[in-house]
Amino acid sequence: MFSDFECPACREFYLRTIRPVLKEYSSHGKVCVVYHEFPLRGHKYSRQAAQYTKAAQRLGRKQWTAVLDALCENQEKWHQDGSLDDTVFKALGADEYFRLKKLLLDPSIDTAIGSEIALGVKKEVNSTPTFFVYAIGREQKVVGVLPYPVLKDFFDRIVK
Amino acid sequence: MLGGVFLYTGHIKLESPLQFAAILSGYKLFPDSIILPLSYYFPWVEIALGILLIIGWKIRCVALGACGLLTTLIVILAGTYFRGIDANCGCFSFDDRITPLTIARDALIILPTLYLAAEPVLRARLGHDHSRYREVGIGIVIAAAIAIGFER
Repeated sequence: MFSDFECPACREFYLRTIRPVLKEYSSHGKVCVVYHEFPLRGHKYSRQAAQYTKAAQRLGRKQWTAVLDALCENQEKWHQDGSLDDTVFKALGADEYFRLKKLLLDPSIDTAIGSEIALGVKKEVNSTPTFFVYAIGREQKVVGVLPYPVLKDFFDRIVK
Repeated sequence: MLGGVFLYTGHIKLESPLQFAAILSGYKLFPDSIILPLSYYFPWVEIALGILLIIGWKIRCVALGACGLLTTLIVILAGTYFRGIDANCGCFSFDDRITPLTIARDALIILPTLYLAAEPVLRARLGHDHSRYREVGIGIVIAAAIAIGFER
């Protein structure tokens, strides 16, 4: 899926659909979720938020989901006042926050985000959230939010 | 031509049932439990209507069915719009926002179905020479198709 952290629809999609999918399907090895950063130009802090989650990914899965949860749950606040540092600090705690800040100095973080944006452009992603479902030998592109019960219904039909 | 429209709309929905499911859930009207079955089976209803219209089998009944389907769709779209819900139409493409123009465009397509359903009555009342009405109907469908083209 291609997502922008400052996008309200992406926030809703993550909290109401992707998070339960990660818990109920991905953690049991039934569904693989590949998350791509796609910060949109109109959003002031979304590139920075993408850098934070990319760096958190390098710390580990637990840290990545903690930052993802914190950014989505507090989106309204940091979208208004830009308090990303504060949000991420509270999610990770001091030690891991400072490790993350060091990782942010690595230029490969921004390169990785650039590559994911390029991939999205190649796949004609024009808005967020956009996700691609690969199942039963076919690819389905979906633009917008799909409620968890509907996606669950889909997965239960194809995943044993 | 009308049959072709239904074949096209059914085809694009079959290409991505999950995208159509996202559109249906965007209307905030249907319970989640029926959205996926609806997204799988509804396109086949459109395709069946398209085929039947093209081959002309029981044209009056099929046209009435198509008219009923389109009317239901218009009511759903109008209801969604007037409830202030920002959603996509999903009729001819998946990035087609519901606006008064899209509702009017879809409503235009009802007219040829009404004509086909009423043709025996028209023939009885107006005689065989009502070809000008058929031409108007075809013109309306063409105008709707052009409106679709410009909007996309």
